[in-house]
Amino acid sequence: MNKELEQDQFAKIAANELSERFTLPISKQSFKLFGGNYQGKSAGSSIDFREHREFQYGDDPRHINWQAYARTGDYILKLYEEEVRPTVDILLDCSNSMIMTSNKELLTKVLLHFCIEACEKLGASYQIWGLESSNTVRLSKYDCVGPTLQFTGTQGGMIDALHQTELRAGALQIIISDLLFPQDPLLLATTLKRNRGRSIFMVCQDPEEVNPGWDGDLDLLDIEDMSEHTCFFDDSVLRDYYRSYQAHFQLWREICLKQGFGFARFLSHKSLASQFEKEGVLNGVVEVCL
Amino acid sequence: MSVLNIWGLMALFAIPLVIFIHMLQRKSKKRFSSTLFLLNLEKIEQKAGSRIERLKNSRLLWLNLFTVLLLAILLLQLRSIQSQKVLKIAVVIDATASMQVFWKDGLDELIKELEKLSKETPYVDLKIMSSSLDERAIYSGANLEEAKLALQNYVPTRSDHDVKPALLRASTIVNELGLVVLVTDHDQKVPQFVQKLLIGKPLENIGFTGFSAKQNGKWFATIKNHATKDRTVSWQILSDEGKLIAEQSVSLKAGELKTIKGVFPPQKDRFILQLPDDPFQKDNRIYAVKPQVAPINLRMSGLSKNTRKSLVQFLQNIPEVHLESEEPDFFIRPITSIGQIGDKPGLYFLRQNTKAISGQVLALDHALVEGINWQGLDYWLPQKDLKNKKFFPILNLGNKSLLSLRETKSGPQIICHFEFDRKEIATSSSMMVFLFRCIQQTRYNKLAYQALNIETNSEIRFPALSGQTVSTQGINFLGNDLFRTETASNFFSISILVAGKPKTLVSGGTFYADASEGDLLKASSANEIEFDTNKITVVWEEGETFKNFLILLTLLILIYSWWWFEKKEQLKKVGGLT
Repeated sequence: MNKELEQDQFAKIAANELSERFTLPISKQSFKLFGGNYQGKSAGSSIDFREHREFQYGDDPRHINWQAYARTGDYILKLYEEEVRPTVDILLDCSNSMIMTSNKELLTKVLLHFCIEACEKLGASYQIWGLESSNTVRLSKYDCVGPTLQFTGTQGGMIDALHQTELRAGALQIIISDLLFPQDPLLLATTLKRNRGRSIFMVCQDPEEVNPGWDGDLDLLDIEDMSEHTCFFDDSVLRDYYRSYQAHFQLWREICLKQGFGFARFLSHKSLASQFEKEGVLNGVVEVCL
Repeated sequence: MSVLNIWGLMALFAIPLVIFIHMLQRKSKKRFSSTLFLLNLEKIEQKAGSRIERLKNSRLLWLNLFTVLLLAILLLQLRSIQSQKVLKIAVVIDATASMQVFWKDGLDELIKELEKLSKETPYVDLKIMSSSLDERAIYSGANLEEAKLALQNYVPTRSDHDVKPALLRASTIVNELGLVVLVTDHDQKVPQFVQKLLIGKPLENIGFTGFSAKQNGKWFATIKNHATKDRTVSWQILSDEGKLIAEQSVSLKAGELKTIKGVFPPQKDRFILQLPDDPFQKDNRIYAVKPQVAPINLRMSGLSKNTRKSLVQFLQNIPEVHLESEEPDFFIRPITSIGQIGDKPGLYFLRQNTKAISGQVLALDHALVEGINWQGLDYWLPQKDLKNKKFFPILNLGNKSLLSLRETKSGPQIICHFEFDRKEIATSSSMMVFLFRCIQQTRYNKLAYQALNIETNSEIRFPALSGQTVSTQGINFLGNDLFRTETASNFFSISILVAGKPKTLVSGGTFYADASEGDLLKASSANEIEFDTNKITVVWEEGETFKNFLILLTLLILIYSWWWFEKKEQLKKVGGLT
C-alpha cells in the first residue's frame, strides 16, 4: 500500500470516529427535499400527526379536516410532520496550498471524509465539488479516495470556481479551504448567499503558515504557481507578516459572522476532535451528536 | 588592578571580526510558502541579495562576543592588588644539641608566645628556621597548629656554632620590619633587632668529651665535670650486647677534665663506655671499636743500602705497612722510561746522567705537597728528562719538574725527576712527609677492611668505596664515597657485595665530643619578646574582588542574551494561534 492510500485509509478511519461524536449543523436550517428521514421544520405528508389549527390564507386546502368542519363549521387543518432530506454541497478547495505539508493534507482529507460520513449518516443528499479556478469538477464519493483526488490547482480566488458549480438552492454549503487567496471575502459570501443556503467554512491551517520562522535570506517558492521570490526577513518584516495574517482571517471571521455563516480554523498539528469540541461547536461548524 | 600581559588586548581585535562575520548574509534557503500574498514582496526583495545585512541579535553573536572578552581578560592576566596588614615573624631555633634538654618545655613556651602575637594582628606570616643554615626551614606559613606539629618533629642536634648568619637571614626574610626571635637555651650576644626567648635553666652534667683508641687495644677517654661542685661518678664498660664487663669510679673537681684509660676487653674488638644517666644524655655513652687500618704492602728496589736502611726505619713506624710482600700495593724504584711504571701506585725516580741543581722550588696547590718545605736541598736532575702528558707537575724548580703526579684508582703514581737514592734526599723530613702522604693516599684507595672511631654527626669519606654498591647500618650514605655518622652515639658498619654476598669493609663506633654543649650551667631562661605595632607591615596581595566582578558580568551578559531570545520567541507567537 502506498503512502497516499495509507493516508486516505487513516483519514477515513479518523473521520468515521469523528462522525460518531459530531455531525453537521443541519438543525439550524430548513430543507425542501421531501422523502427523507429527517424531520423538517414545516408540516408535511408523513404519517406522524403534528397539530390541528385554523385555516389561514395560503394553506393547502387538501389538509382541511372536513369531519371537524361538519361538527364545528370552522375550517380546521389537520397537519402531519414533514419528512425531509437534507441537501449538502461540499466545496473542496483543490489548490496546491491545501497539501503544503503532509499534516495539512491529512487534515484536509479528514475534514472531507468527515463531511461525507456525516452526510451519509444523516441520509443527506450531498454533492462534492472540487474547486479549481478553471477546472472545477464534481466529484463522486469514490473520487475522494486515492490518486483520483488531485490538489493541483492554482487558486487565484474562489468565485470563478463557484460559478462553474451547480449548487442547490437551500443546501448546506461546506467550504473546506485554507482561504489563502487574495480575494474579497464579502464578494464570496454574497455569491454563496445567493443560493439561500447556509455556508460553513472549515479552514485548514498549518504551523508553517502561522509561525513560519523565516530569518535572513530565503528563496520563497509560491506553492500555487511555483514562482520564486528572493526575500530577506528580519524582525520588522516578520512582524508585518504576523499582522497581515491576523488581519486576513479576522476579516473572514467578521464577514462570516455578519452573514450567519459558520467559521472555524483547524490546525493540522493538533487533535481535530478537541478542536471540534471548542472551535467547531462554538462557531456552529459542527454539532455534537445526541 | 594591574595587567600582567598588555598584549592580551590584541584579543579584542576579534570583536569587530565576530561582528563582521555575523553581518555577512547567510546562504539563502529554498522554502515553500502559501502566504506570499500577505507579504510586501517589493520591500523585502529589495533587501535581499546584499552581502552585508543589518546585525541581528542572536545567541551565537553574544556567546562569540563573550568568549572574545573572556579570552582578552584571560590573556591580559588582570590582577587586583589589595593591602594586608601582616606581622612577619621569623623564629630562629638554636640548633645546638644542648637544646634537646629543654626543647619539650621550651616548645610550649614558644607556641604560647606565638599565639599571643597572632592575637595582636589579623594575619601572621610565620617562618621558623634552624640556626644551622645547612638545615631546611622548619615551617613557613600562618597556621599555628601546623607550626606546632613541625616543631614537635624537629630535633636540635648540631654542635656549637655561630647563630648570627641565621639571624641575619631571618632579618632579610622579615624585610627588617618584622619580629626576629631567637629561641635558645643560654644567653648570647645577638644583634639589636633580635628578641630572645631563653628556654634553658642551669643544670649539672658530667659527660665524655673525647675518645681515642690504638690498634694495640689501648683506649683513652676524657670526662668533664660541668658542675659547680666536686663529683664522683662511676663509669662502666659494657659489651656490645650491653652486658656489664667492668665498673670503676672517678672523682672530678668542679669543672675538671680528666682522662680515663684502659685496654679493650680480652677477645673483644668493641665495647661501650657508659656514665650514669643525667639530663644531657648524648655525652653519656661512647661506642668504641678497636681501630684497624687497611694494610699496605710496599716494595723497594734499586736503592743503595744506606738509603734503604733509612727508609725501612721510617716505614716501620707507619702502622700496617708491610715490606717486601708478594703482592705490593706501592713501589719505590728507579725507572728509565714511562713504560716501566705499570698501573700500581708508587714513587718512581730517574737516576741516569744527573747533575745537581739548586734554586727556588715552587709547589703547586696539591694535598700531597702542600705545606712541605722543599727549599734548601740539592736536586740531582738528569740531562734528558722524561715527560708525559698524563703526568702533571706538582713541584717545580725553575722550568724543570721535580715531581709529577698521575692519580689512579689505586693511588698516586709519582715520577721523581731527581735522584731519590741520595741519603740527604731520601731521609729529608720533606720527602718523608711526602712519602707518608702517598702511602696514606694509597691506603685510602685500597679496598680492605678497616675500623675506626669517629665523632657523632660528622662527615667521612671512604674513597675505596667510590663506585661500589654499599649497604650501611648506623651511618647515613650521602652519595659516592661520602657518609655521615648518626647524631646519637652508636656502632656502624658499611658493607659491599662480593660475589653476591655482603662483606663488611668498614666498622666503627661513634662518640659525642662537644665539651661546650655538655656545659648546661650557662643555660638560662628569659623572655624578651615584646609586641610593637610598628612591627606590623603592610603587604600587597592579589585580591578576589575583580574575579567576582567578572563572574557577575558574565552572568549579566548571559541573562541579557537569554532575555533577548525570550522576547524574540514571543514575537513569533504573536502571529499564530498557539
